[in-house]
Amino acid sequence: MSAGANRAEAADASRRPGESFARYFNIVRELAIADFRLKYHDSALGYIWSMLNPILMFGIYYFVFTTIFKSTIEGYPLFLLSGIISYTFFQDCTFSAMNSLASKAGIMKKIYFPRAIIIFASSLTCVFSYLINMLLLFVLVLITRGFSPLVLLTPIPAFCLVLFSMGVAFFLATLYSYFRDMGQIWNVLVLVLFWVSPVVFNVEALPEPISSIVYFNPLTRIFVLIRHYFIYNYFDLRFLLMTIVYSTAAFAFGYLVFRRHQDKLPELF
Amino acid sequence: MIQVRNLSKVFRIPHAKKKTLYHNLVSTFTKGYDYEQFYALKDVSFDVKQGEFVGIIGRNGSGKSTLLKILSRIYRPTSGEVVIRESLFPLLELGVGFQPDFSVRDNIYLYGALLGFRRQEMNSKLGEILAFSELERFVDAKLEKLSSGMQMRLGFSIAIQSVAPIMLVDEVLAVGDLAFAEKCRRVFAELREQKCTMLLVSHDLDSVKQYCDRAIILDGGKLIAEGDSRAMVEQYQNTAFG
Repeated sequence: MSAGANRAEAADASRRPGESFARYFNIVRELAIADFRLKYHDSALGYIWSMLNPILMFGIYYFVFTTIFKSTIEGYPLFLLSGIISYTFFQDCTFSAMNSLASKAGIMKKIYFPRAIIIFASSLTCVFSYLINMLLLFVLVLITRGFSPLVLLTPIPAFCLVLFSMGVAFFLATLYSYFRDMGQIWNVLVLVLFWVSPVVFNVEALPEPISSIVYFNPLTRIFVLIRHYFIYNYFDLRFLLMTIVYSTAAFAFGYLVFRRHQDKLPELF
Repeated sequence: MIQVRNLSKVFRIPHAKKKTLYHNLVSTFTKGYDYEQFYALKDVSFDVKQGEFVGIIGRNGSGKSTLLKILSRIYRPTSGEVVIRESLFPLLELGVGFQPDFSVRDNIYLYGALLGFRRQEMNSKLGEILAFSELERFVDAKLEKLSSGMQMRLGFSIAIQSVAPIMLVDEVLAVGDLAFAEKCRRVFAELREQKCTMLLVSHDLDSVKQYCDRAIILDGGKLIAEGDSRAMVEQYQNTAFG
């Protein structure tokens, strides 16, 4: 059996490349807005609900790590809050990628568009929330610690976090299409990863072999960078560049894996 | 122009549902028992010239929708080739992506985006869509409050905003009441004037006779006959009842 071919694609793509990009971007935006509204419509408190979980987590960890374990980390409330907000984004972004493939299966089977659009849209929905939370955090930083120019660099590691999370999301979504167990497995892994990322503790305080393991996790670098700029007013160019390289590589890897499989997806759901 | 050459599509019929990692691991040791090959389309070839309206008829499961899905790039062919040079608009289902919780207005924008329209373009089309679907009064109502016929009418009214040289239409004519059917007829006549090419899948044999120049009959994934639409409908009726 020779491989099947559908030459419509070639004809279509050569027509107006800019046009089709604009069209696809438009779909991403509309889907993301629709998702965002679906998430919070019809509830009186709307967006506030989505902040309840991180705030509760913050309260518990703050209590445990200041009164029971006597943390000595400088600026611990902001330290903890920035970690929780960023980790929550990572978690939401990866889970919603898998969920949205399943929930958009109906659309996927009826209209052709690059399947990656679905993941871009679900990630964009999470980016909205992350942006709002980070802006709130920014206000908190201004109030409690005052303004320092390095704060303005925070969008760079934040963007690295988005890239890395989307890379993981693309990879997971591909796996999920073939094995639905991936959702359950990821449920467990996300918890493990939480404790292998310096969300509640300081990675510098760990003994050597363990701190290397924790640094191996790209999330660690991103969290550390965000805190450098937000709280500690510290800049290390090499560390920043390496983080950008890692995140971009993770994104490229996940996206390429997804692209290899995206034409098969409609048949898998 | 559409050229379809020796097109086949194989689906695998699982004999045990195998969607979990456990089953996949187990099945690597028991290879060969899990799937049966099923030809949804087998060695189908035909041509459609520009400006032709071609009906596709056949029993349930004969491969009609699979054919349209391959032509619209949703499924990949297992073997064979499809050549389409013009841009194409697949109308496989009305109201894809409709959100029952959103207002009629929001759904028009959402569906419009999926069909490839930008917000500004939809702004100018909004009035026309509402007029055609006769839903002006309900523009801010939630979609779920509309009757299913009204929802389909809305879907159709949005969908016909996109006119491509090739239209693939799958069983969407049976929407709305008599007055709306008349409107649909006018839309089809307009498409014909614009020299659109159309592939129409329908169980409504009268509309195949009415709209199509030619028709093809699919049976069990094979193309068994091709010719004048009236003759084909007759042949199909004879085999179905004979």
